[in-house]
Amino acid sequence: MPAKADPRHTRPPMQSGNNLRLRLNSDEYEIRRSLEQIKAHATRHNADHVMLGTIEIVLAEVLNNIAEHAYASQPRGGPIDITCTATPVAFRFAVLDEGTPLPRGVLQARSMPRQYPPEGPLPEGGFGWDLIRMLSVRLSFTRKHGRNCLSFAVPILKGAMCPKDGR
Amino acid sequence: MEIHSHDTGNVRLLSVKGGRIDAAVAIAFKDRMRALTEGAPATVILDLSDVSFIDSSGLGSIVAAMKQMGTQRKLHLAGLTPNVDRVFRLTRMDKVFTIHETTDEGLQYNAG
Repeated sequence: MPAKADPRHTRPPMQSGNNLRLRLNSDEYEIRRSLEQIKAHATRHNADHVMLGTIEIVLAEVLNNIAEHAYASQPRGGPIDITCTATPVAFRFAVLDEGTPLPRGVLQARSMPRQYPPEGPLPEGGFGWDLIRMLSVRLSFTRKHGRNCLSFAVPILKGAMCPKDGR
Repeated sequence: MEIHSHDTGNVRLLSVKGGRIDAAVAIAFKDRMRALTEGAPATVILDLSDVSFIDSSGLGSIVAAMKQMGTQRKLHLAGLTPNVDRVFRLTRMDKVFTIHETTDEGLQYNAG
């Protein structure tokens, strides 16, 4: 179990039109709660269950990475700011944290084995970035003023699965 | 999160109750699976029909559960809901596990 969250990091969600802004502490239970708030926002903007599933998995992986890596050295975690913007074609996200910089190349790396069964032992982790890359578009990262800023979008596809979903 | 265990013939059926296998419960899940698969029959079927969401940590914990069972016993999966099924397919873990549409189908497959 993580140390008790620092309440200073949490603020009530702020919604204005198509935007939802959240500030949370990087612990697993606040991450769960934020995912629910984002899904409620997406539902208000007519996201169907497939969209909601896509948003939930991509955002969960992004937030877990911050909790487990960016704030790895901080037992009480740290603040995460999320902005979700609903547009007619996509849900756009900006996710900021004050943790250690995202290592170079992590956005491009591929951790899934290319063949099954894999030659070596089965991986038990490292699927997170693969899922993020497969289910989002316009994935980009900047480091500004000591903060990591990851932005990405989940495109709205009527009556279809995500483009890289293989179905 | 609870996991219910039920032996039927040469199969142990483990049913996950609790909606999510995510980073918050992944370690507890793996430990619970270790306890529940020790001394199990040759086949264990993990019923995921009550699980609506899995993330990469949860997926890793299922892979870990399979590995800690060794080579003598097999872990099958059953009843994947759409979002869970999608994560298995995207990560190609659907190629690693035997996956049954329902637990009944899994039990029939392993009968006799």
